[in-house]
Amino acid sequence: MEDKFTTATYMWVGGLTLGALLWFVFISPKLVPMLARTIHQKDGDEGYRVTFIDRCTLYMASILMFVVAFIVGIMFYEVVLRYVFGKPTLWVEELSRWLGGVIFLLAGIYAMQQRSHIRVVIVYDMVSRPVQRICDAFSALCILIFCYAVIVGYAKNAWTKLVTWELYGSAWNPPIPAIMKPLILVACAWLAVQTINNLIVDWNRPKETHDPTDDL
Amino acid sequence: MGIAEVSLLLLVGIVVLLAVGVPLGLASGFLGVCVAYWKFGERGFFILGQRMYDITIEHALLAVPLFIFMAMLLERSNIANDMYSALNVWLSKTRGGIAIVTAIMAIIMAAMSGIIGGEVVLLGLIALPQMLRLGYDQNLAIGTICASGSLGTMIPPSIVLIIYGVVTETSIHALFKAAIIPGLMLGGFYIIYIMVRTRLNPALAPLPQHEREVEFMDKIRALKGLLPPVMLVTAILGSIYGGITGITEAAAIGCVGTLLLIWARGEFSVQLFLESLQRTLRSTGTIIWVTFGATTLAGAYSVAGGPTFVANSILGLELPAMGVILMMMAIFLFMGALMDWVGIVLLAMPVFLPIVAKMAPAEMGLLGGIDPRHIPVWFGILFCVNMQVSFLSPPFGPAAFYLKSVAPPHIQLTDIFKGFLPFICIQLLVLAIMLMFPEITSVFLPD
Repeated sequence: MEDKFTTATYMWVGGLTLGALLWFVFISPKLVPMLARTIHQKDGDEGYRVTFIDRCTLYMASILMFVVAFIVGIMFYEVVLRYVFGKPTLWVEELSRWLGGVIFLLAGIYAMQQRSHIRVVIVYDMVSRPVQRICDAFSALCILIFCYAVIVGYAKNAWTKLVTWELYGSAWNPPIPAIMKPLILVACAWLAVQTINNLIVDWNRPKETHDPTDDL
Repeated sequence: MGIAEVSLLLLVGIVVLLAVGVPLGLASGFLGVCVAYWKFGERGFFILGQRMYDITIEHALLAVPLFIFMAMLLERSNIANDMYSALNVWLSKTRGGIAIVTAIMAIIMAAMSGIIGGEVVLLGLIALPQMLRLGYDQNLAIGTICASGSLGTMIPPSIVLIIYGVVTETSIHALFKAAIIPGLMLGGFYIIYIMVRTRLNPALAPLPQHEREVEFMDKIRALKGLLPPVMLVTAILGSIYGGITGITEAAAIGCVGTLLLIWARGEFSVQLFLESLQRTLRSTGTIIWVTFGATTLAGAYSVAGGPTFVANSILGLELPAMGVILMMMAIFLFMGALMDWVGIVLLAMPVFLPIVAKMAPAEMGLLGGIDPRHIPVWFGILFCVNMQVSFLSPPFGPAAFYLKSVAPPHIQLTDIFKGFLPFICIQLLVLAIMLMFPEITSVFLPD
């Protein structure tokens, strides 16, 4: 597997890691207050307590939100190259597919931190707070079982793809299976941790009713 | 325990889990785990991850975050306000003019974005105060705003059709072509309804008084406000229908176009940009994880033989084709009143569409049936019209809540739903027309 990595690969990985670190140090702290503000939060409400795990998720989101803008940028670049210069690229379609997958998987964790996953709250809003706590715990249990099952069922396949460094099999040939399959496991594990975190943070919050406009 | 009992348990299970407050996507994912375990034990869990992987690398889905991003940007600019003033100059002297302006504006905005919510809120902020000030009938004003504001997911580009296309492996391009006529028909019917109603009963829409005569040159000058939206619509729909780009790239072009317009108008700020990105990320995570959960459930249920079982039992009833389709429409309307459209596409379509595909195409519609290859497209459009109703239907019609969040406090939710009634009837009328004449959807489709 070692010989599959060229010097250029190492430089890319090193450069991106360094970039992410610098981003975490200088930019993320400035974005976290905005990212932490949920839709449920009214003015004057101090919002949810931000724990270490929340902070990790928000730091991740502080990079991820710009990936959307980055995809817009490269796709526009591709269209211009194709129609103005007649030179389509090989990499834009696949890179956007790859990054899109990263957004899909990780955005769910941010949505979980924001408590914005679509729920039906007809019954939930009617019952008392202690009953709501039981519902929350049950809900968390379901999510944990789902995450566990995905991880258990897919670990072997994902690990094989990672160690054999399976490529996409196209002209540009990015390692989409080698990266994305393990990322599914990472996302599920992270989601499970975030779920437990939410359960603990929300346990002592007073009863609140939901407004369907929250899903906007 | 056979597949029949499991199917029934699933139905009960999803209701119970949702009632308890488990997020929709993860509730369906959990049920997927249960089905996989029941059929294959722990070995069955592989299907869950595999189905998630297929969604992860689906390029067409990328259009979802991009269209959301564009809508978030549009919401924060004054492009819509200017369009409203421009249309107003032209139509304010007409009976019911502002309601018509609202509907036209909603149609143009629907051709730019593919989601609802933002549109209803914007129209509620811009048009509702003016209509109420002029003494328009409150029900008419509310109904117009919410019904036409919901067109965002009917007139292409539409997120509902994108997700439907991905789930059912139908060409999104074909869906977008087929949705033009039904979408415009719906919008057109709203306008006709407003015109007829206000002419029959002028008290519903008083004309503005003491306003100076608008000069013709003013009208020409006002057209400037229509320019940016028309440019955006041309860029997006032009690149899709002209075959220049795919749906996803068209969405990217739309984002760049919107950003350029906002920048050119001097409205761009870092704050606006960052907030749009943040909300895009949140909405994307929400929608896509419903897709993840439902795809795992659909995957596990399929390998367990569920869809075949349901299809066979429905076909075994020997109902006429249209009877089955009408039943499905009723189920969509019922589910739509209670739950989000994403969930319905993902949970119902893998079961329903194979059934529809197995029925005789000649029996569809009133006259002469439909080309079998166009059935998935037609069914997608039917579904889309159903979801138009679901945005307005009580108790959870989202449009009502969007409007409530910006309406004057004296307008209650019950008032809002009251205003919807005639518009829901129009939607059902369009649904009936689409059911009777499937040919309408195949007009622009290749033979």
